Amino acid sequence: MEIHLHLYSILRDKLPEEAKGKADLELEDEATLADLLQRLEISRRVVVSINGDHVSDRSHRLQEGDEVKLFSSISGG
Amino acid sequence: MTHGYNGKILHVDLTSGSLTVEEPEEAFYRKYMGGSALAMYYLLKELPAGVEPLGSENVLVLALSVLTGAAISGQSRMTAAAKSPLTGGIGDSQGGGFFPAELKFAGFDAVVIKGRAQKPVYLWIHNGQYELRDASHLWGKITGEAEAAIREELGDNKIEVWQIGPAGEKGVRFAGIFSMSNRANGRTGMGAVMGSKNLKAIAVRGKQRPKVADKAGLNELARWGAANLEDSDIASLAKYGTADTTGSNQTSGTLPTYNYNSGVFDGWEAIDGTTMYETILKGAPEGKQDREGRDTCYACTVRCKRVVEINQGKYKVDPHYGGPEYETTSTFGNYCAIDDLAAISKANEICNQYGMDSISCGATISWAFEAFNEGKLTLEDTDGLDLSWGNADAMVQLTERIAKREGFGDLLAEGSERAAKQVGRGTEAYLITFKGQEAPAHMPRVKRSLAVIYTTNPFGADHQSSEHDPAIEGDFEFYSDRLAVLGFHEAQEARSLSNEKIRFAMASQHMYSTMDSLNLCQFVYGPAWQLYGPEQMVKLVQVVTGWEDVSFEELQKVGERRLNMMRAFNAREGIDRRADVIPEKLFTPLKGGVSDGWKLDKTEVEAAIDKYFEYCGWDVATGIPTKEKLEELDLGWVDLRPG
Repeated sequence: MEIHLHLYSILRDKLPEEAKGKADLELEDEATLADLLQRLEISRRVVVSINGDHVSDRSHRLQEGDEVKLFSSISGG
Repeated sequence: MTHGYNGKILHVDLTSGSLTVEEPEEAFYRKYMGGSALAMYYLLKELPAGVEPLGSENVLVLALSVLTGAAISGQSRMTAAAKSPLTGGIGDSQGGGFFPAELKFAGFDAVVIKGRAQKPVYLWIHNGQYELRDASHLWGKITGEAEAAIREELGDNKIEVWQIGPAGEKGVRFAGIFSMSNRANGRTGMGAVMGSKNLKAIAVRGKQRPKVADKAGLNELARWGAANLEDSDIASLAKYGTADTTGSNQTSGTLPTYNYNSGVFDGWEAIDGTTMYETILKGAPEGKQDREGRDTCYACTVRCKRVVEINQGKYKVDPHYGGPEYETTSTFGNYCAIDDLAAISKANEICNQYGMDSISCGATISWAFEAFNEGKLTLEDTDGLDLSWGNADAMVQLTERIAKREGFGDLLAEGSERAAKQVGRGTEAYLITFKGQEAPAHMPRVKRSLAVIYTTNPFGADHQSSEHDPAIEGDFEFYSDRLAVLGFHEAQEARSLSNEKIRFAMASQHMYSTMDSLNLCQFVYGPAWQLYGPEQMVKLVQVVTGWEDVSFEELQKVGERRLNMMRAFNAREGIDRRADVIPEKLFTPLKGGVSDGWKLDKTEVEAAIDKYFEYCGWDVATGIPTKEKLEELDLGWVDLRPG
């Protein structure tokens, strides 16, 4: 399946500069959020939006056409 | 021999013009460490209850800590504290930059300022010497101009200047005190207090760096920080600034919009840290913003400060005045449903030039926006400014009028709570103030522990007084080692107000309170995502001061001591649990997006506050520290009866 990925700020380093954080990614059909993070080699804490929803569960199954946004910012304090 | 600090406090009596030096014992520094706790000591000793905040009897304390000036990231910060003209209770603000280290090297750990000068003066401290100088020619100048004038007159462009702008001179109730023309001791109106004393500025220069006890140990800690910054959870903050949190706050529904009526904003991406980095940081057009568009504080390798330059279009911005942080992009941006980053940066520039807290200024403006959009304020009230949601131009014009106390700006310069009281017409329903101070851009309806902290915090709503909920909720696994040091071993449910969550709020509040007394940057040190954790903070105190037996528990006690001193200060003013009030708006549901429908429940929150007071060892009915708690904290000398 294909998902539409949007990486913000420091996570953009995971893609070539000209991509400006955007990429369409081919994943295995049953891929989870955890699989995606592993594929991108992201081990730091991230905040995840999938189609506008805040998703915390890394076992969440991704679907064809999902818009996935990843942020790595501090939570505040 | 002492390490890390000077052992000297400068006392300034502006009425008589006398300047004296006190040399407290080592035990004093060990008990209070510096910063907010040390400031509270002097305020409780020297300030009688019932004084007018803008009268000559108020006392303003500027305090460093035993750590300030040590060669490591995140220590060049300072506290300004006095009775607040905004809240009527204790006022307290933190600020950073290069001034704190320079004051330490100029020979002093704190400055205690009483009385009022007959005409404007500034204080000049250099290599152990000190004098008051005429500032009549500086009064009325914006920060950048006054700073340049002082450096020229004293013949040294490396002098650091901490000053009020015209807003502080005119008593804008949320005026701040600024160094570098862009680093703010922003909140609670300390700038108005300084202005009421006719004190324009403090200028410092020095080369008398105190020795640290264990230089090798300090170097090792410093090297660790520099080596681990890239992999740490503040790597993104370093490069993209605090507005980097805009997108994740939008995602979790805690991006305040329409004056706190919603937690999501469609225009968020136009005003976030990534957009700022790519478009308006100095050097961005040539791809040099990483070098030219970022700034830092003394000895700090994080380099998280923004430098914005805009040379074309309607809102030109001078890089000398820095650039907006997340709170500023929020209060001038999403709070007012504005997505014009240049306009927001212009408002930030005005705040830094005239010397105002951008949080209270922007949030007072957003109160006015809501009142206007609800038909309770008319064009006649607002000098003809159309405060329709999203009107960036009106927001910028209003910011300038507040700074100059002109027209409608004169009313807003009193803060939203006093403005609402004067206007009436039901506009008090739109307030988001706690003890008269406007709420920052982290929402209690989403991060529930903030309902307890904002409400009970002695100096009003403050987002830098505790660790926010995500650290002990969904993010717990990332920070479990550090949180274990504070005594927390189990993740809590999202949006819960469990006993464990409340205990976490208190324990993290004590740690943040300690950091305000050690004057440490809360991005660099903390209990969770920060660069250095709690055990490293203890190590830092050990290697700088030589107090090898300092423990985390002892440091937590310093923070708890400071918090109790503040509750005691307020109690003397008749400010107790009756003032721990949540604005009614927060009991109504948020509208739209992820947090649609979320609201606080009055019964639940009051029960949480009961539990919090119980954990704190305070009387549950009044929220006042008990005699036993004060004794336990070696505060038996504190008198709770009105002075």
